[in-house]
Formats: sequence, structure tokens, C-alpha cells
Amino acid sequence: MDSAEAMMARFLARLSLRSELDPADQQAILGLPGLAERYAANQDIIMPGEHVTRATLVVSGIVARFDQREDGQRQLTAIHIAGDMCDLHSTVLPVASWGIAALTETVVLRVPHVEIFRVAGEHRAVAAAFWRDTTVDAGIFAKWVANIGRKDSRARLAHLLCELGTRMELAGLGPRTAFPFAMTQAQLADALGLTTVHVNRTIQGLKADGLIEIGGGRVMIPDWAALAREGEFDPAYLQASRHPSPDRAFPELT
Amino acid sequence: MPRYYFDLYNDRNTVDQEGEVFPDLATALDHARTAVRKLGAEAVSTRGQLVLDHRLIVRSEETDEQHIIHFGDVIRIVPHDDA
Repeated sequence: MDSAEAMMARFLARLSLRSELDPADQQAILGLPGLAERYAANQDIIMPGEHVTRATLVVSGIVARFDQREDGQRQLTAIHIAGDMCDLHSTVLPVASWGIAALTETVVLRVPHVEIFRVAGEHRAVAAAFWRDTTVDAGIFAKWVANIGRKDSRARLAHLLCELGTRMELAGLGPRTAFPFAMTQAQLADALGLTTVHVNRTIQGLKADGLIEIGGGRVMIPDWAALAREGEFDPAYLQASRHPSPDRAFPELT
Repeated sequence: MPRYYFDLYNDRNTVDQEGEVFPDLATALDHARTAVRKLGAEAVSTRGQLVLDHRLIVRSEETDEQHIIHFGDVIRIVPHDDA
């Protein structure tokens, strides 16, 4: 298994997509300590209401944030891939109003909140990068609400696949048109607010129309523009452009 | 827990190769009825049409048994006079 620093490098890469960080900032992030843990597919990592003292960095695999009804039915509210600190916000809100579950076999690094606070306090640019990172996750969540609340099943699935492809590519996990995809129909149903039967029918429909190919743990998107059109996918909400550090954005700070 | 497969025969035939586990057949059939009602609701809302003969076939991996649920089996259409 990779060292904690190698694992943290994935998170640094994600932060650096959107936030300018100088070498000292980068070193501070790479130096964050953590304990690696392995989870099996469909294993819960954090339950709603749990008090957490560590944030969870996805090192490999796919993880979902979820809420659940009294009868156990779940709605996934976000999907996280390698490099995502999927509950960075727990540093400031440590009682989970959501759960976190592994969708596939997953390795996570649990990073103590106190160390995240320490680095944020010592490095203004890192604090801004953390803040920006949680805001990006909130933006993705808002897009999910609109996707699930207002679109038909084809558009929902098309949008989800376009989002995952784009995020995989940004994280260096493969091109957006061919990426690892090991979610089950039941997990997709929980993510899209559909039944498994409906998910299967929707997948077969997109396949029959030549918009996707799924097999061997991968998804391929032969005609990106067509799938993006089907899902009304515009990547602007993923905010994949780098912002200057606070000191450069606001010279009056220094 | 046993795995059940749900093959859909409506405007597009969809054979289920992945399936889903349920504690027992009764729970799998409950899931199937809910799925059929939701698919029917979408057919009505998008096309204004419901084909009562469309069906979902539930297969168990443990037995050769098949259970057929027609869309017409899980809805009740109430004529004006009885409303």
C-alpha cells in the first residue's frame, strides 16, 4: 500500500486543480498524517448521526455519501472517487448528517480533523483551498438535486456518466470517454432515484442507441457530445479552473 | 440471500444479467410490483399510454420458477361511475 504522503498527493492534485498553492502549502498538505483503512463493496464507513474526528480521503475505489429512510431505503447524494476528501466539511461539522459507504472495494485514509485545522491555520492558501473544495462539492450536490428532481431516467443516467467521466479525467484516472465503472444496478438506482429494473432498462436503451458501452468494469462513451446532449451536461459546475491564492487575489492582505 | 433477476418486456426487451439479492421471493415480488408501477407511471406521464400486457418476469437463481407480473396486474383503473 502507498505511503500516507503518496495517498495525500492525490488530494493535493485535486486541490491544485482549482487552487494556487506554493511549495510550502503543498508540503503542508503532503505532510498530513492519516491511517489507511480498506473496505469491501457495500460496507458502511460512517453512519448518519455518527460523531467523527477524522475526515475521509478516498485513495482507491468509489465511495458514496448517502441518506436513508426509516425502512432502510437509501438515496446516494454524492459519489466520490480517488483524490476526493469526501467529508472535508466534517472538520467543521463533526456530527455526520450523512453516511458514507464504499460502493466498490475501497481504500481510504482517515485524516484527523485537528491536523487539518492546524494546516489550515498555518497556511492561508490551504484554508482557502479547503473552503473552495467543500464549495465545489456543494455545487455538485445542487446539480444532483436538479438532475434527479427534474429529468427523466435517460437524462439522469447520461448526466451522471458525463459527470463521472469528467471527474475521472480531471483526477487522472482515465479519459472521460473510457473509465473504470464498477457500480451495480442497485447502487445506480440509489444514486438516480430509480428502481433497479428501470436502471437496467435505461442502460440498455442508451446502449442500443450507441451512446454508451458497459462491460468488464469499464464504461465507454463513443459519442461524448451526444451523451452530454442527452443529459444536458455542462461541466461548468465542476469549476475546473485554478484560482489565485488569497495573497495574490487580495494584495491588501499582505 | 438468493439473487433474483428481473426481465422487462415492454416497448424494449431488457434481460437482467446482474440481478439483485433479496431475503426471499415475497420481498423480490414486492420490489417487482413497485418497479412495474413506477415504469407504468413514467409511461403514462411521458406518452399518455399504458400497455396492460407489458410484463416483468422475475427469475430466481435457485429455482427454475418464473413469476410474471403484467402491468395490468398491479394497477386498478377506476371507471368514472365508481370514482
